[in-house]
Amino acid sequence: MKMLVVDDSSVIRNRIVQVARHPDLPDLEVVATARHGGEALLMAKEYLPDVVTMDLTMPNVDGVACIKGLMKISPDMRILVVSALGDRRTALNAMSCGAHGFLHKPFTSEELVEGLKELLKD
Amino acid sequence: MRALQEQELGAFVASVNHFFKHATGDAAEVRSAYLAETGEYLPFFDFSGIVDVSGEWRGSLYFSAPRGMLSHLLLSYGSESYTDADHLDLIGEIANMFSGQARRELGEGLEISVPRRCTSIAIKPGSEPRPYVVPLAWRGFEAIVVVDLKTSRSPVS
Repeated sequence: MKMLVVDDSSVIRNRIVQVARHPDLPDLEVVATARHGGEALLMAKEYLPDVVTMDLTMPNVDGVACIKGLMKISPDMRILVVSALGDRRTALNAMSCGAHGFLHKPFTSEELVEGLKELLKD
Repeated sequence: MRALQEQELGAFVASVNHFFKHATGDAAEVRSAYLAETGEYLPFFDFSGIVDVSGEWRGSLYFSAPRGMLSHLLLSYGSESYTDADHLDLIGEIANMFSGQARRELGEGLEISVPRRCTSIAIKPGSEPRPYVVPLAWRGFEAIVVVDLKTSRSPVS
């Protein structure tokens, strides 16, 4: 399964790419990373990822607007929001736009692996 | 608008504790907060991340840390690169995480911006209410969080 990582922090993007190589996620391959929502939409059109990890607070196009755009490109895309904004309203808003899961920053490797495994279950 | 109350400052102190413990497994030693003097420069270290706050709250959160602390944190994050750009990236992300965690406690009225990042910036608080300075230590490195906020909310009783 192809995965796109979207986060304005290079440290977080690299961490997610590393964790995605975990042995418990053998079918996952990171095909692209993006620094903001605008770049993510371009990457999504080019690579058609099955799975996306999505930050919310980003310059240019923010995460929620990007999720809406991704759903137009492919409604089957499975999106895990990975954000410092962990309040209930933000989570519900992201889910209502098409996200399938929510992981709060800071996260451990184990939490991200579990979040991705949960995303890949269905 | 009124000044931040001590109970509300607790949300930011808790967010600092949560970050270090959860991200690295090692708790930070968060020391007693104090009110900064207006007209005097705040303490600062090599790198700073600033998150601007709007909505029911106005102001900013400022996190300043030395290179050594951030290098250790980059190591905890599995980073293979230790450039100035990496240190700047991380300090902005940490300021973002502090603010995001505090928002869970203080509510959605605390709207936070994309973080700004800078090196060795000296900030002088200009007017009342005075900001809170929260000193902390982690793995032998000192750093500070400055919470410079006021709110339109009713006071906490």
